[in-house]
Amino acid sequence: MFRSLRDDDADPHRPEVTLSVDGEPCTVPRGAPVASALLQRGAASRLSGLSGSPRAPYCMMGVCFECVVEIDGVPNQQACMVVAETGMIVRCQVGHRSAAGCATR
Amino acid sequence: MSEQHFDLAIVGAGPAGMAAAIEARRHRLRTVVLDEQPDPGGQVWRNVEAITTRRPQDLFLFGTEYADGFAFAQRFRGCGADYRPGARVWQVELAVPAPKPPVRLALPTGGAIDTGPDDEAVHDERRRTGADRHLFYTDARGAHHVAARHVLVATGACERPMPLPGWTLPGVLTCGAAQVLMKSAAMVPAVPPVLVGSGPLVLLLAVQLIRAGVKPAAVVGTVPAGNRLRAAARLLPALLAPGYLSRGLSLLGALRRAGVPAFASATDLRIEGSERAEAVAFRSRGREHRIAARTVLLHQGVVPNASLWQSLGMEQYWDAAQRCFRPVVDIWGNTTLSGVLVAGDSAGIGGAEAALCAGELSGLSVAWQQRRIDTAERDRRAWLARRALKAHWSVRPFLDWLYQPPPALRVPADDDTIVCRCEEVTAGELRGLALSGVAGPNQMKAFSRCGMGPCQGRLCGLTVTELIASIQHRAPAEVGCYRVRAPVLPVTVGQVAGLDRMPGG
Amino acid sequence: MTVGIGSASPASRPEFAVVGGGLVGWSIAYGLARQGRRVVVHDEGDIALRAARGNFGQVWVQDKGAGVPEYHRLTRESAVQWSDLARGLRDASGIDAGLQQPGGFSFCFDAAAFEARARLMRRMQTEAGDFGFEFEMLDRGSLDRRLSGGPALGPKVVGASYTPYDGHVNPLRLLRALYQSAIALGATHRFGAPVDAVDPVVGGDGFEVRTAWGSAWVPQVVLAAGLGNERLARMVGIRCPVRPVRGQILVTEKVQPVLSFPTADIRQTDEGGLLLGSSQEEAGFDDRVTIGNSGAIARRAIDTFPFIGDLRIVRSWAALRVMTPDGLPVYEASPTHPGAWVVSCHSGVTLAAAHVHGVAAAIARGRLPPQYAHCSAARFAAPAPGTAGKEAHVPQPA
Repeated sequence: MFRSLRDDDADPHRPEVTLSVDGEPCTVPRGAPVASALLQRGAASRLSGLSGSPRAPYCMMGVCFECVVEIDGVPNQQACMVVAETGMIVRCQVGHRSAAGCATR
Repeated sequence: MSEQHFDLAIVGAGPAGMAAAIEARRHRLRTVVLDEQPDPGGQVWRNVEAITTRRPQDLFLFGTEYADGFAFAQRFRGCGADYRPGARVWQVELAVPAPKPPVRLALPTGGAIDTGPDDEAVHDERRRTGADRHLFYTDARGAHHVAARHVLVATGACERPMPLPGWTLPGVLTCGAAQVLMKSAAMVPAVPPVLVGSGPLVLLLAVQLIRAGVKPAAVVGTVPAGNRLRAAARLLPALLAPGYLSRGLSLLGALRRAGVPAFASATDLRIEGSERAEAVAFRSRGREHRIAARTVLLHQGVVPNASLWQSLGMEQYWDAAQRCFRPVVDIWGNTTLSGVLVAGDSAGIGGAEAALCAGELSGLSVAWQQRRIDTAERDRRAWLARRALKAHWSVRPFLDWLYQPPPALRVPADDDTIVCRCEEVTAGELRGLALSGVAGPNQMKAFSRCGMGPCQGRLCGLTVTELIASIQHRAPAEVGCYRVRAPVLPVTVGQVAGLDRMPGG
Repeated sequence: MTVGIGSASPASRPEFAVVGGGLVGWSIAYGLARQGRRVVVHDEGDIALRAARGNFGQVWVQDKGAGVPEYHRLTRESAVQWSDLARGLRDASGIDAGLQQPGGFSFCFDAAAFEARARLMRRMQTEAGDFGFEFEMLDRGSLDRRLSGGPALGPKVVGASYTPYDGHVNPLRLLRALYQSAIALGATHRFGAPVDAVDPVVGGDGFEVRTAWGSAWVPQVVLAAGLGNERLARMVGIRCPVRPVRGQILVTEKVQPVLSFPTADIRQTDEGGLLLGSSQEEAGFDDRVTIGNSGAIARRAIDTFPFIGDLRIVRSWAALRVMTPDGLPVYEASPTHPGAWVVSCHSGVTLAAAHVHGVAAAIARGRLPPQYAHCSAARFAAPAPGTAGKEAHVPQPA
């Protein structure tokens, strides 16, 4: 689990963005990747497709693909490579993505 | 979809890519720089502009070498290159005859910067190249195409995989990841982390965390005792390299003063936990240890981020000290493929300062190949960078041998340890296949799906090569590596469907 | 020769050398091993022009063999025998090749193509005679009803042909299953060096198989070296004019099950990824992937099922098909050097059952029956005198 560098949040003017992760609001500094919001929560951010084992962001530089989540309805996005924006709706994935959602769009 | 023509296309805006762009622009080359991050600097100077301007109070965490990146990024921004952030290059296509299948040469170990082709005949051929190297990339708006006469791959490094029991559990990240979080999100571990592994970054991160008020619960070193002896033989040239050893010693001192528990030569490492990391267990100096930890940060050095250049099929060789594949390049970064250069850590780990020099030399070489400068001017301008590059490389044999990960952490001894995180393939299954006589990594991939997931083998490739080599008693160079194919990063079917015709191709 | 696996005397000496460790080579090796023959498989190193690793994985029947009903029959019989093959492989190796045979669709994108397809199907039915040939031509309305519940078709689809014979397997697991089953039955594997030459021993007494590592004598040799057969077959007096035809395939990220049947160029693997294929390109020995052809494959896939456009491609590959001028396989016994056999084809998956149960068994018996006459190399011109032997090395086209 990760927390803000300044746990007292001394700077009230610090630019921040608020996004929703599995329905819960989550605040990170402007410019931070979506994965940083996942790590604030500290739990698994997905269950693997083969064995259902818990996974979470690992490399933070676009290499490992462990941090894939659904962002604004688009599944399998690398959360470490997407800059967080206010209003984003992030959902953790269980198993493989579905294709049906795409078919009906 | 947009398309444009350039003299030089650079992939990566870290030290090597930025230096190459600045040099190329000095000679008026039309230059495009494609980088997957939102800001220039690469991983080493990640987010340096924003920290310098928006949270300067955090600069002290990262040290002066980091702060220096700001000025360099500003120079890069002002150099006149067409800089395209957020651009992820997934395919480079060369409209030239098919390369031969990769051949691995047994070159001398260590910095191969003084080897490789560098003769006029080769360069005469290269001078004739037209704008027929095609780069395809994706950004937030969609898929795009640029064409260039020369391509410089400056994709930097990524962390060497560290497969050990429990390394897939939530709460386990790399040291590099923790550093990225500090730089790009101003975040630190909420509870004291345990750092496990070897290499300069472990020390650096531990000290940065201490400065940020997060004293690590422990630093568990994995350097085998024997490494020091092998490294000592390479100490003398390392003393010539500017600053490296004194910086290392001062980090060690800071760690000791902070009173962080340190363990040396740890073996039998495993991370315990079911839903997330709960503890790190290991043996050190004959005793069993178990340290409770909800955040475990792993690192055992960095290796070239090789996917893009490997997808082009250039010649490469195995570096026995760095234990990775490196492209065969001359001192300018020219590869065995016409019009394609590789510079910086993606050509072999030399560090940021060496990458600056290498990028500058590549920029000069392209200017020379495109007749913007003559040979005398090229060599005169290259003189300083060449000398500095040599000095920076002189520390590498020492560092490479000192921090070389032990065999048990390159090839997991425990059969249940996952090697391929994407397809969840264990060391035991791979060992069984290697024992049954699988010919190499590609047959292994076909038989086990190891390396077939979305990361495309980035986190298992070196492990598989070394596993086959150790079991079949073959040299890693002969075992070879995965054949990397474009797209090296995921792109949607719809985006590829839009890229049908190759202008000028 | 009646020496079996359990026999004492020269028990370690192979009776057959199979040259080539792809799907065809391991199918023949497994088939021979099932007949109690001792086999050694000579394989290249890890980087080879390996069509077996670039396979689309279909057991595809519906449009094979127009004009050559014997070939259609061979293909369909192989498809029928496939379930036996899959069972045998599962028993011998524990590996499930993932066979599914729900029948397959081939989509048409304009009225002319639909008409042409219908003519082809009718022609094949006529040619099949008593053997029979079941097919359906489905117009867009019937197709939508048939596929309701599945993903929506694109607006350009006007109809499809369907035959019940088609299916698909996991070709990588098939290769591994063939390999492990053959090994389990005593076959041995030599890899790391391509076979440079197969030299008939003077007097008809077997063959010397030469590699960079030395040579080994065997009584009989089966050439299953894919594109290498052109060169090697000449050494035993057989002309086998195969050329490379490049095929590119795109693989998407894994998705939950969405397609329950294969089409002529799209299928979902049992692991979840969609395979999108496959181009036919004359590109010599260049097996690189190219954007132009990836784009064409991607567009056809989206034209068929628009949802595919949003899926990410995680891998792509190109492989070289082993193609004869008429597209038919080559099964031949050397007339000049008895004990030498040639097996070449571009349908290593579909014909795997025929190779294991039919061709390998025939080779073990020492004679190819008349049902394979249409695959004889005699249909190509004989090699010019004096070109047999080592000097016949043909340089590979650049």
